[in-house]
Amino acid sequence: MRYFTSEFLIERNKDRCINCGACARQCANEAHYIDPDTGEVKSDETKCVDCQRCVCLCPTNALAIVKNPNQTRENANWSQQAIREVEMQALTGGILLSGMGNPKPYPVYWDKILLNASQVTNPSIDPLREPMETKTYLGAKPTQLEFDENGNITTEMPPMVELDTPLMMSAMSFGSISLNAQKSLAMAAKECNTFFNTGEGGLHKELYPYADHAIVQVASGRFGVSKEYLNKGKIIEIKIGQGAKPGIGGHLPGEKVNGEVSRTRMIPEHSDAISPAPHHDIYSIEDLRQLIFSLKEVTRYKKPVAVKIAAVHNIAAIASGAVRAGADIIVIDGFRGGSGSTPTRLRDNVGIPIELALAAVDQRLRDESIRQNCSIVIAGSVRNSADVVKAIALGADACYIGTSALIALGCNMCRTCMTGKCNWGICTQNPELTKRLNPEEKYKKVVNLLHAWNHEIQEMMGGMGINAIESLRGNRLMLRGIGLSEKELEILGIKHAGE
Amino acid sequence: MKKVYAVEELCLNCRLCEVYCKTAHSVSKNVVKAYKFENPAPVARIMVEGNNSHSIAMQCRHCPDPACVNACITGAMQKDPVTGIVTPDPNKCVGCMTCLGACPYGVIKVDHMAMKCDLCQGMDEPACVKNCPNNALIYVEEEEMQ
Amino acid sequence: MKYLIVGGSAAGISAARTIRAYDKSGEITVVTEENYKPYGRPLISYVLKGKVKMENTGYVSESFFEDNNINFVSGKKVVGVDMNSKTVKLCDDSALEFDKLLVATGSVPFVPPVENAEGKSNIYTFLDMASSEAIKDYVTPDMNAVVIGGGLIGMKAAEGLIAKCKSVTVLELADRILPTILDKTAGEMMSAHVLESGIVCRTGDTAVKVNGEDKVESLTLKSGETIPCDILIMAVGVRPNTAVAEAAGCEVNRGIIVDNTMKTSVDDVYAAGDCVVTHNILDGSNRIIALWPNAVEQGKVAGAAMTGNTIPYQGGYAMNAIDLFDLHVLTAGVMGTEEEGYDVSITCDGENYRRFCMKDGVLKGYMLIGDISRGGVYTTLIKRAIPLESLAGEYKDAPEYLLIPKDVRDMMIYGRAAK
Repeated sequence: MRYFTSEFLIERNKDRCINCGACARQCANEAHYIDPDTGEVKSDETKCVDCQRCVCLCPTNALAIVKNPNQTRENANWSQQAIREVEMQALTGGILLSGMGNPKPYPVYWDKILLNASQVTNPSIDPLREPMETKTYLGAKPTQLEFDENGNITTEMPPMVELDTPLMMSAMSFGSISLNAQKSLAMAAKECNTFFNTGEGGLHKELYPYADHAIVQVASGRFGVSKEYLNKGKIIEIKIGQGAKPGIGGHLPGEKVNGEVSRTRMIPEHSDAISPAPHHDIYSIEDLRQLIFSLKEVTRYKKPVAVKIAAVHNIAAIASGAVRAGADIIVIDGFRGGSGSTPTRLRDNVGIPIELALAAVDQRLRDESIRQNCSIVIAGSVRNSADVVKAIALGADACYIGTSALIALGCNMCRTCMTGKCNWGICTQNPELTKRLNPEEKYKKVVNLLHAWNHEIQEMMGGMGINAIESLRGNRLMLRGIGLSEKELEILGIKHAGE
Repeated sequence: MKKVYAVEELCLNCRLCEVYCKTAHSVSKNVVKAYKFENPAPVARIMVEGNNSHSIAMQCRHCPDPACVNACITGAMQKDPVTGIVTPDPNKCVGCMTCLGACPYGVIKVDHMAMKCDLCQGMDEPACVKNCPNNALIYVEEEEMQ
Repeated sequence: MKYLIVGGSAAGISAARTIRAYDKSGEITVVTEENYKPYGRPLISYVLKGKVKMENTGYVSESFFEDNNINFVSGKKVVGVDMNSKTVKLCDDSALEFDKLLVATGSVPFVPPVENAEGKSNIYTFLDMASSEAIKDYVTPDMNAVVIGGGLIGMKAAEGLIAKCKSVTVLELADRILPTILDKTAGEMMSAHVLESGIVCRTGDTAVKVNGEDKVESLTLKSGETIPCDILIMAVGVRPNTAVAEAAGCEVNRGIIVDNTMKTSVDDVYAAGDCVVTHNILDGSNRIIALWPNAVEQGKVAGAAMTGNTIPYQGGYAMNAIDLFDLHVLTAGVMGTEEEGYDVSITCDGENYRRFCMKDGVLKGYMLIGDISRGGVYTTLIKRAIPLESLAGEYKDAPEYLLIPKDVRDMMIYGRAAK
């Protein structure tokens, strides 16, 4: 017997359905099928995950996925979801797993921050008529510059990378996402002169042409790490933690470790790829420093090294330590950050909002006069260009976008990434599904997204009378809080609207 | 000439090309009407072979020296000297099916008369290409593919 | 350059078209003894049936000869060839000059000797439009028609006649109808199918005597029976029409002997179509393969050769499509038997019958009855001699192009090897 009812209903408009069977052939969850007796297409809603693939492909718009009106008795405390989770665990005895980021109704501070605009006393700028710079450099900056008699800079510059836009693609490994998905992101990064991130999956040979736009990650499993790999990328990122699962490692099940994944990760085929919770050679800031400098050494001090940490309670102190350990870039991943698979309880309950973490870290590094020693990149649910502008005004140099980029690739946020049956060919290694994502076509959507956001960023900056993203960075005067407590305003370092 | 090429690595076996081909060759040009109400039922001139792991959409290659034209007993099947498109003349075709057996790709259907891909003459690109959700069908000059 | 083509059907027209493609200014003349513009020969049964009107039988457009600047002479039979003066003599004593001559004279009906058949006015053959029209004019609904010969021509004649007379009986000496393309089981299936529409097929039997004065009134059969007959169609077979070639001094045995450019043993004389002996690519034999597509192909080769260009003729193979009362038959290649060293595979499901014959790991022939869809894929397997073990799966249930190895597919589609 089933202990819980299906979450969704599949409504098929019989007047429109032509029984072409496209839905049946395209649903990896087998929620649609062709009745062998009648040839009619039918549905089994218990298998539906609401990924919308069938809805999008149906040539006659005959399908709709709707919330099942059949509900348990309403209870403000015991939501249907809460009951369902208990039933699920009672049935399986296992920990609950989820995909994507924290969906709980915690405050979204982006939505409680408002931007300023110029009126009368300082002119706004029209980005269509005047230059508007969004170019961003990541890496440590020199504290002062020295020049020779001809005016040339004589100061030795730390390694820095140039981005045309303050947007980069979040770390998503080949293994967690398909090669086609990663390739699409790589192609978009190249076209927009920004970066994609290999995640802890190594760099597949097919992506070598995009290596100049790759951030190569070194995480606790050290998968795919070699001297060649480190030297291929433009930035090396040490991943300490991830917003979706702070404090724990990762686990790519053996069935996803096919030939290509195995070669790229440099592990045996079909073996589980387990990333330990900690790096087993890092138990202190000093250990971190050793790793940072090992990586710098192997790449001849030519590449900035980033350290990615999840936004947790004492984030400011940890960030300070990482900068002092030699990190050129600090990446903070907020508690809404996504994941291909994460324990539900951790995803939903561990970590802190990125907005607060960012403000705290930026303030701390400024207070300690080491802010110029690093760039700050944030991740963890940057949903639109206004979030980006607010993040930069709070002190970020650039933002990682993960979920937004996946949505551009077709993701409909069904949050069942962990099943490996992604009907959009993103979070799966099943060749029948991965081929659904044609990089040549889909990368253009990511490029469009980045272009669109960059235009909007320019518009908002222009409105504030700012013509370079450098002038927006840490410019918290451009922000006002709405409906926030004194404490929240204090941490964010912004005034309340009306002040 | 411009031809439709199927990229089998990208073909999803969704078979929507068949749906849109059938619609493009219907009277109403409406998917629902084409499938449910039109009599005689319109016929798709493209056909997807295979399964979800490996599939390909097949339609007329508009060969330089078409076997179907050589085989046609009535002179109905002709290759247009200007466009290169191979089409049967409905006034002449008697549905003898010789072309069906001659076509090396097996892509001519015969239901009282021969029916085959006409590259959707009159449209800017064939319906199958326009509606393929994965760009697995491309419409390009022959020379580019050789 | 003067090109003269004797014969205005598949091979002749194809050659004329090809010559014009290579030689824009040469003088081309097509001469035919028929009183019709070129038409699709196999259409005569459709005309008899009334399914196709005369005006829709044209094989080429009305303006074809004018557009291509071709001189078309109809209704004139070639009665002699003088290779010294390079002229042909026509039945009206006029003459036509040529530099290159193409003999595309096709075949003529073979009429077997039957006792007392001589001089009967209601005996017809069935090979050209004139015979079809004559039958159509003569036949009335109260007649009993008899067709001698249950081959492709005989069966199509029978199908055309049934709607127009009281009864149709087909006499076939072999143990089945359509003996050249069907095996016994398939032949019996077809007999049963046509019987539903009223055609009686008597196999293993033929007429030995015609009874009647001026007209055939009945037939005495080999089996001893006598059956009424108000119109008799002789469709036993054809023989190559080699008269013109022989007049030109060409070597002829079972048909006209040609090389792989369709040149006969006499310089400047070429031959193509149903009158020539060609190479059968499947069994290596040299014989006449009297089929429309082969004639078109040979006409092309001959036309090119006559203008000094060479398209070597690879040889042909048999491929037949026929439908009788909406039951479709598609066959190609050889119908080899196990005794002849072929592997034979047969599946039968209701009115769907599929027979494959293989040798040396390649498909040599197929026979499809009922569902013949996508049969051309099988033709490709035969023509390209694709090793069956290289196919991606079972081919016998349904022909799929994807079964063919990728390198062959790429070669066919892109004209190059796989990337």
